[in-house]
Amino acid sequence: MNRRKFLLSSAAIAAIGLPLGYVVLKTEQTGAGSETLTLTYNAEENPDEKSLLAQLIQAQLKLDGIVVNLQPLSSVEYNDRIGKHEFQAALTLWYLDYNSPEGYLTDFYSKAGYRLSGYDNPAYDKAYLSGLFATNADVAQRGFQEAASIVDRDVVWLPLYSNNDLFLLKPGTEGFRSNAFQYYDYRGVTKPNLHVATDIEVQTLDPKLAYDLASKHLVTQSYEGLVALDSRNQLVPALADSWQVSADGQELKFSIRPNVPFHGTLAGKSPRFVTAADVKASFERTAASTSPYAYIFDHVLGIDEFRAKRASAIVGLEARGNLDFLIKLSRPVPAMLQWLLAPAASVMPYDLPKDYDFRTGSKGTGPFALQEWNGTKAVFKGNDAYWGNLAGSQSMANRSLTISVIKDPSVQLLAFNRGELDILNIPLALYGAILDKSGKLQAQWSNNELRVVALGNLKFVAFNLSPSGSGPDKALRERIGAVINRNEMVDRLFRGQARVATSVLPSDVFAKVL
Amino acid sequence: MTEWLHKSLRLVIGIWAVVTISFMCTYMLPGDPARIILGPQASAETLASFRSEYRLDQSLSAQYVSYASKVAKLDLGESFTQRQPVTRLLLARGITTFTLAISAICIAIGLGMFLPLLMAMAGSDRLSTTFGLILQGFAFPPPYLLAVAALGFVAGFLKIAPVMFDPNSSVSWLAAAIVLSAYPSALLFRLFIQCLSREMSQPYAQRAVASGFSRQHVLWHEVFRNACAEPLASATNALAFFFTSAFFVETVFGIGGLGRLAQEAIRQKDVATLNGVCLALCALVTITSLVMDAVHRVFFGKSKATAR
Repeated sequence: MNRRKFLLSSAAIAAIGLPLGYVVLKTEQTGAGSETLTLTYNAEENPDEKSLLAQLIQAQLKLDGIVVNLQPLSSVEYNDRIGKHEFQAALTLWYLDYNSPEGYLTDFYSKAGYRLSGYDNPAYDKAYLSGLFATNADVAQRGFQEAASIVDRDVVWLPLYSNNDLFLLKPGTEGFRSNAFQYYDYRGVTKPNLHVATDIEVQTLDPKLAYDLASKHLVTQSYEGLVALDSRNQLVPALADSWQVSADGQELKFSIRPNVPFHGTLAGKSPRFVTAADVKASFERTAASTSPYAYIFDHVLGIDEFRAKRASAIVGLEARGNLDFLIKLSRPVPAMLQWLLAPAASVMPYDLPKDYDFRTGSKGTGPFALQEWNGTKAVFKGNDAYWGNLAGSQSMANRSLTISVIKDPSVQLLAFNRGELDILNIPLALYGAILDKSGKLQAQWSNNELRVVALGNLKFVAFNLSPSGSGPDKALRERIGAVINRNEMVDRLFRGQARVATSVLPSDVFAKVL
Repeated sequence: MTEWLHKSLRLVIGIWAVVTISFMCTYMLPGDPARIILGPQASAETLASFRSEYRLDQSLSAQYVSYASKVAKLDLGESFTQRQPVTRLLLARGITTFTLAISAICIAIGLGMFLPLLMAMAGSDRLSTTFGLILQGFAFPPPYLLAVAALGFVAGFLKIAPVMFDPNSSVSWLAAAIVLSAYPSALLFRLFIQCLSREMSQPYAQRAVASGFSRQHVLWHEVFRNACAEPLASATNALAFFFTSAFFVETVFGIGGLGRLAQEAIRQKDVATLNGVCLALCALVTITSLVMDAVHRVFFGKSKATAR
């Protein structure tokens, strides 16, 4: 073939092939004649789970003629698009750190600060508010259930599943406890020097700012609030040994546990015990800050004057004597006790210096006192004066806890195999290496205990229903809901270690509350 | 003196350019830092208060002027996420990355320059070709994969280092530094072999051999210094590679350095920290480059003329 013929035939192939290829590609992308949906997700958050799940949804909907275009984005771009409501459908998750349906339902309230779906329905608002400000549990239950059924009917979110937290425990660590809201309790572990890991970067060690799971994991070892959540997801006393809620639900009275010392000393003074004044100062510190949890004091009497700097203290937070503490609310808020679980409601000494560097130590009352933090590893020493030693377990004296940040799952597994980690929080990427197809422990790991904890989270697809949004109409949302096979997701992705979700309120966790 | 004045001026202009470019780039990153950092439940008042505290509610020009004037006073502001002075974070993390990068540079010089010299002195072309291929094999995979494989080999198979990085363990540092130096070592090795060969064919080296000096003597006393000049100049240009690739190595090995700090700052749109990391890297590269320039001048400035 001479050069001229070659060039002519190349040009002919290009002239026919390129447009043809374009048409084929375009048809493939848009699915000519069929419904299409763009599914946006944050490819940097739980990337293994998100990408597998997105592909599975794509495959399931394709069977019904719905073409799904996947749109994986970086964290920054994802948050930007979500914030501006520039998406059709978003694959995301919601997790709470307290045990109240209110936390799941707040997103649909038309006046909420952050509204993922941009949903606006006066009937919903009415039902939600009737639950939020109810004076008794029965009214709250009715309100929240009605609110949940409204959003479920409107298919604002497409709930998929709630997954489990899986741990591989070495002998001697069986006393480890955690709950549906990922509070990790190492007090009952008999192994004196414990090493564990987290796969998320730690943002801060300042309790009032701790918002991500890793920061909370570290902070809650050293700091405590008035109440805590046990492994059965029930509120239990912490620094308050008892509390009472007034009949109108507007006054919460706490009796502070006596003789609980803060870690170490302050300005060379001898160890000091927690008083009601410390609680008041700690709460005001959070309320005055740009803490992500500043909202928990939104309904306390006098908060507006305090935030506007017209008052130097919050009148609704009252220290009565040394050990009695009162919270007065402007309206009944049944979730208030649950909100006090946040690390931002931890109690610290009222005379803690304003510029205290939380990376250098801790001034809380928790079971472990921070000794060292180098950006990737936190070393804690057992608090030998800890008030809450568990019955039958060894005292906190002569114990240590090390929490390292290890982001790569294979490195975590290697460290566990080498004995450098005592507890492995099994990421999805390691399910294949540790679990068999039915979700049980493989024989090679039989010396270890598999601990399964049902999480109170929700993985779902959120549809954009904002007025300017481009989300699918209700008919398509319902069609998608009917086609999605949640059991396949649970079985194929999680080897059964997750629970199908059909409502925006994960039923198994909240069944006890509602 | 004038040359140093020019260099200092270039340095100032360079730093100003980095300050401006990094500020503009981070400003243009999508997303609202207040919402990303404070989360979905933060109220409008808290968000407004956060934006006001970090001047995010001001115009671009006002933010730039405020930032640039702070930088001029060596104040890099406060990290949005960690609420700590950025300089404090950079000092704590920068030392680790600097140590890692300098260790890797030393290893790269050892593997890429001294090893080929020894092989040339031994007169084994086959050995140097084989070793060059092995080095290139290590340089081929992306740094992240190489880091995972190296950690698995050192900590899982040989069991001579802990899996979780121990700053007190020299083997931990060595393993991380070797991974970081793999790619530059391979490049340096190839370049240095070529330079040695070129210098050996120069008249001054040929004359020395003809005068009865041994090949080893000529290589060590005459050729080595001249052959070093070009690879070292290239190494100066490749300095940024060491610092940026340290990001991957830090993630796998669990080293708390600037790389991980930068990654998180990008994820959270922590503009203050991100700008601080850019400036710190710029400063590290500039200072190391100046030191290497000085070394180059002292040791190699007139070497060829003297040798000839």
